[in-house]
Amino acid sequence: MKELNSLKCAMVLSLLMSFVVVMAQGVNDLGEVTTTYFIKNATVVQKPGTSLSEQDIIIKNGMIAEIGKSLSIPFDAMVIDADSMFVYAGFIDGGSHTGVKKKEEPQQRERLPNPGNPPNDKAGITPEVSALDRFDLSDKSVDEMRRNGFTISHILPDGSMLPGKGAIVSLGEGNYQNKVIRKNTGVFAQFKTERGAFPSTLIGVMSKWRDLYHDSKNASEYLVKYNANPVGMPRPGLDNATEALIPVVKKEQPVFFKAEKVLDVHRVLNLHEELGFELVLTDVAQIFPAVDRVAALKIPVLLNPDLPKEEEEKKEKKEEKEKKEEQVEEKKEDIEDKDDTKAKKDKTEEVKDPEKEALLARKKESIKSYLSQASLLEQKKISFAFSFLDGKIKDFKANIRKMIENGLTENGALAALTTTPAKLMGIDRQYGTVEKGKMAHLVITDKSYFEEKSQVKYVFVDGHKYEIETKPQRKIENNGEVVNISGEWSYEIEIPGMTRGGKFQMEQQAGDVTVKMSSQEAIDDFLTIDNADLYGNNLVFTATVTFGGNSITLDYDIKFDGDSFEGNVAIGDFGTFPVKGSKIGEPKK
Amino acid sequence: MNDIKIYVLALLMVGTFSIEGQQVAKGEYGTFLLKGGTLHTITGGDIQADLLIKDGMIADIGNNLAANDARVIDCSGKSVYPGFIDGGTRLGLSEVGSISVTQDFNEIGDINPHMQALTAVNPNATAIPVTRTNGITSVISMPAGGLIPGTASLIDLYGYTPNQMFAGFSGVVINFPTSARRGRFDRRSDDEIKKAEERALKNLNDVWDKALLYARIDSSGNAQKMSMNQYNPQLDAMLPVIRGEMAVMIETNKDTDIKSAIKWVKEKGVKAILTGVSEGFRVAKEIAESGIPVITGPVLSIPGRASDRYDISYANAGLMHKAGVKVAIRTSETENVRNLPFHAGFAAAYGLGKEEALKAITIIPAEIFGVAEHYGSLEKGKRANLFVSDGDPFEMKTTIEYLFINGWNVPMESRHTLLYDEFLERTPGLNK
Amino acid sequence: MVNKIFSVITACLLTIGISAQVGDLLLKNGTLLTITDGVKEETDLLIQQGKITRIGKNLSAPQGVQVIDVTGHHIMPGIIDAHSHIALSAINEATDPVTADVNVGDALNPMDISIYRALAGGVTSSHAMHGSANAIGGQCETIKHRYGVTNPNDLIMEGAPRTIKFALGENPMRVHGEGNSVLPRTRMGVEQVIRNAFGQALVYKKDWADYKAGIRKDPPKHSEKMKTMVDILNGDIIIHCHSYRADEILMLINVLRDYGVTKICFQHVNEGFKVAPELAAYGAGASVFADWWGYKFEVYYSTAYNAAILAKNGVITSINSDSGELIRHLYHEAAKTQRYGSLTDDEALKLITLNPAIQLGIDNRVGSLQVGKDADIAIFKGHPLSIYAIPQYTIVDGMVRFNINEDQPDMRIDVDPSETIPAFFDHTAEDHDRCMQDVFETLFFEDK
Repeated sequence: MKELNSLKCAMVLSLLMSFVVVMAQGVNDLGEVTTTYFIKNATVVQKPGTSLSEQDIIIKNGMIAEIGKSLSIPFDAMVIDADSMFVYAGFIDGGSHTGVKKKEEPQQRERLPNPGNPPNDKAGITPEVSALDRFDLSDKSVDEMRRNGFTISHILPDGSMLPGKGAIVSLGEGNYQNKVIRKNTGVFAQFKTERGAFPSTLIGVMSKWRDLYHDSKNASEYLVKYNANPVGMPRPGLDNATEALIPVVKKEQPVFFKAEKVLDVHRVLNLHEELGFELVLTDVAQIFPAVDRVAALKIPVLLNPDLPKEEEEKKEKKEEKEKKEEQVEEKKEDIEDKDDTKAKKDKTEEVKDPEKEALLARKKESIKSYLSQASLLEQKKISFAFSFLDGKIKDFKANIRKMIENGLTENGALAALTTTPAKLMGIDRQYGTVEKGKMAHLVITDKSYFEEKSQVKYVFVDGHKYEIETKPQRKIENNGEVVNISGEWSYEIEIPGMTRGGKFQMEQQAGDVTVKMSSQEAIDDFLTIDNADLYGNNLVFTATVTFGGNSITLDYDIKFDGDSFEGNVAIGDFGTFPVKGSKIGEPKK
Repeated sequence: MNDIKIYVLALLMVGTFSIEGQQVAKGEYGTFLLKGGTLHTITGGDIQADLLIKDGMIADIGNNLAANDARVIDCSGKSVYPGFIDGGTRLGLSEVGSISVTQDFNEIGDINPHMQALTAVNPNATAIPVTRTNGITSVISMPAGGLIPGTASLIDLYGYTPNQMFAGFSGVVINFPTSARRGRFDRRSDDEIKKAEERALKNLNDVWDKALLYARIDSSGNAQKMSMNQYNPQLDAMLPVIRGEMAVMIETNKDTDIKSAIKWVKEKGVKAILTGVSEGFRVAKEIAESGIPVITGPVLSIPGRASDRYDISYANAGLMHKAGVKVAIRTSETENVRNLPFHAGFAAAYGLGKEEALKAITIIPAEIFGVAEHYGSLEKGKRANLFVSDGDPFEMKTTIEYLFINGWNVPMESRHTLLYDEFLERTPGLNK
Repeated sequence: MVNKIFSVITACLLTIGISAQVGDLLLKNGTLLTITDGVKEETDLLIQQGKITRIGKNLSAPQGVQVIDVTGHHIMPGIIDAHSHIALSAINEATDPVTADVNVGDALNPMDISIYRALAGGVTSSHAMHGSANAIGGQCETIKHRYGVTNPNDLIMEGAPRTIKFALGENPMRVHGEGNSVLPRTRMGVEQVIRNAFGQALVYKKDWADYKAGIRKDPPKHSEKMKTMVDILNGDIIIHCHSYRADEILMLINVLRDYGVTKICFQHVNEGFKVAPELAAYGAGASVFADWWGYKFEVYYSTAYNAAILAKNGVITSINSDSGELIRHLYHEAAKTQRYGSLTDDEALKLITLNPAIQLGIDNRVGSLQVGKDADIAIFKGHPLSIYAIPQYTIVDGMVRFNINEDQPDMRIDVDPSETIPAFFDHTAEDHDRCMQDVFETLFFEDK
């Protein structure tokens, strides 16, 4: 351990000596030093409603080995000081295409010889396919889910009417096959269709479901008789789809039926009542008008967490502003014919259009229904979790907060993220809570997850630690005034015991900034960085350099004030250091 | 793939047969005395009087007019109305809706002011006699499609050549740039729609600027007896518009579009008529202030927005009229132009009132088209475009008994009546 | 001000939001156009539990029953549209010339604003139909206009007989023959497609009978399509056949006669007037447009006197809309038969009440003002056949679903949370015939 500090310094020194453009490579070739962790002094939310403070957690062999107060630190443990931090069970996504490659669309759709009776695959009917067949753990969507606290995904294949079966995977690194928690969770179904082949519409899909279901049911019954005594009985000729749906017919696997809006929900429920399969309503964006029926039938729901935007007021203001400008113009006209005072008066009366106001009120009411939908499900005791087929994970945190503002309890929200999906997927004995003996799937946040500015600091997947780098909250300061930072600047990074420096060349065009950077060892050897973002006077960019086959990132976050700047830079895993500088030259023409 | 689509579409659209107009009985020309009816003059109230038709004109109106050699038609208990005028149709330009070879209203190209509807009007179109039987005597026959579809003309619904039918008004049609959705299949994003609208407006202004230049060169050329070094048929067709000798008929329906159309008309100082105007009720005051007349319709159409009152299309004409807009009514139809009195009737019931509704399909369109000297009311000296009915022509039970166009007594016969006569009691019936 | 307007809307939606309920009402002192029992002046009509329980003078309201004074108003049975495509999210499954398996009842949309607009025209029931792309199209659904409900099942008129759409002539020929190069491309082909479906159905019926009797060991392939065809053969489903030309109408009668199918109502049937005696003799119904013609070649030789000729030849005739626009004024469409054919008031009103009810097999429930029938009622200011008539109230199962005095501009149920002012559609080019909706999208348009 002692070497670590000197190693750190050596690396920093070296990396600052030469900048080389990088091809992306593995980040952590050194591997893990230990798989034992000691999470010290955290608030542990074991499950919804059960929260313990000042707890230590020991993680060993991928599992939660111990939870309690003032535990002794195992000799081989890496200690995570979690003072004031919160520990939750890793979040479970109820259904998504995380890491699942999209089905390739043929460039040209072939015209089928008999579009009314196409082969199953041309009709989007492939329930025999597994989402695992197209799963790639290195896909960036996996990392994105994890950064947001999700450690387990229920992956569903992409396609149309019956794309295939789902699987539950752990979102940790390594060979995916070791990451499969459950295969064949159930059949994924949608109203989406292939074009130019039966079924091409909603009504076609409903009808096709009946045919497929009855065929599987008949086949399943026939198989029993045939297997008992095949004498005098024709050999069963099952096609892939018929065979794949037998577990559904036997209620061994549910159907995850995507039902976007309330009418889809009712239609799926009709099919469920008529045919009798087990159902999970999936990726539902609008369900509030149908909650009573859903509650009565005891159907679990996977909500699409996206919510309608409430940006209207801003827009309104803008429009009003425009309107005012219009009026100013009109007033100018009015001055030309001064007598027309009555017309002027009429114009001011027009500002508030009662029809528009009424429409706006109805829209707001509608938005409110969506925002309070999760709360309504909770009140009606409908078991629900979240799915991310259409929804955007990056907005998830903001959206779940809105749901809470609109009546969802924090316990309800946490259940939807942990215990409910675990139970729904039948993995609740190993996942979904923070309890001794369960797999170490944890999310650690700097404050209560449901607080506005909370950030995910660590995620544990199967006991493997992920440190989540958090980007600082950025606010546009100096009132959004645009600064011009074009020119040549010197910089100095203060690393304990030394100061390193070099030059920046900034080129700013409107809001776009290109940064070139050099180091003191080769002061005119510039590395170009094109990921810079300027927020008011706040510049943020990341430089990636390589050293000895390892790539290291330098995250700069600096603020300009006239001819000088100050800020800090995070260097790989080594820490964050102050940086400052000043302008030394005007932009080159 | 696209080629296949076009090929298949073409297959669907093209037929290779010819279609002939219906034969109906000939009209009768002469002197007629309509005796003892109630004359709904429109401009001079309802009066009990005789009406003399001579030389194609209303020769006299008065009590106890002498018959002399006139054929006397007993109109006691009957009503006489001026013929109805439909301010916007495709009548004569299309024979069968789905067969493109019978359709002559939509020429290739976006800027077609030189395409003359009158050229393609088929005087023997089957729909013309069908239309007449409900008291319609004149219609605007207008081209469609593109930014400037062509030049529309007012025609009388009796004659053997377009020239005989021409009724003295032509106007260039402009489909004013719009941000409306074209229908259920219109999947463009709001942004795309906005861009298309802006592009179209730029196009329109380009056409206008070029037409202005063309007109200036043409004028100075004429003054110096020099001929132009370029001939441009489109811009040539715009000359009368630029010079204020011809009106433009601006098709516009959405509230904001109507406002920009009004602004455009003011900017260009053009003589204009607004057509369609289905959201006129939202901007009625602005239209009234602009003084631009309106031809609205179809009245029997569904509201433009899901949040609109169910009856807003019925009420639109009345609401505009109340705000002071000069409103005529059109059907925007081809084979269903005969429904014009019913469009007017619905407008009447939903706020416009019967009297104004009658005006909206008689004198007001005549005024808008600048032909009120000859059309639109029962007045001495006007053309004899009128009909005799056994009651209120908006009412369903009413029958139109006689109809005159330019003094021709046109029989109330059409394909529809002929088929009725033939098939009501079919012989042979069920058995041979 | 705004709040007030909004609360009114909410209240309005709430009152009609009580789903598939039935109501009690006393309509006081109206002119009853009973259809089956003449005109009754100054008469009251009592509704209890959604049914008409009494008709007579000076009825008194039982306790708690709301009274509507309809003095001077005309009261008629709720208008029934035997051919419409409103309240549907999908209309044509145009991939196959035979789609007897699909059912538009699976695609009902109770939140379609067209339902409210139809109610505002006195229409209480409509026949939500599959489109006309296929020789044998999908099954249809007879619905009641209970606007305010959000569960599609609440629209269904419980107990109404099953119906199915057939289509002859240009539409199936264009879609399949020309579009997909499969049968039928001609009217000869249309006949064979239908005969083939019936023939296959007989085989299917036998296969299953054999299986059930143990003669066959393995189950035959399940086919919703063939099952439906068998049901037609068994007389359990009424055929509603889109048709125009006289020859094709006779063709279908011949096919059906061969298979012993008698329940048939022809739709549009523009040349029905030419074969009115044959239609009457077979007992076939005819549901026609009042005056549509000329929009394609097979309706070129049409006459607006069609309904009158059919009715006078003894064919059960109705007038339909096939359109979200026309459905709003079917009373006016029916009145056109007075201009074109001089039908009496009773004859004209039957075309939009009792006759469509007969064609849909629901005349025991609706279509006239009779004690015991469902309280589906339209109330007009002015005679409904007058151009100046204005619907005032429309009642479904005793519930007031349209009341002109409480009407609000915005009667949407499902408000899109992403738009403030709903988009404006220029309907001048579209809105009419939805018979072919989804077809061209399927055949010619890719997504986006």
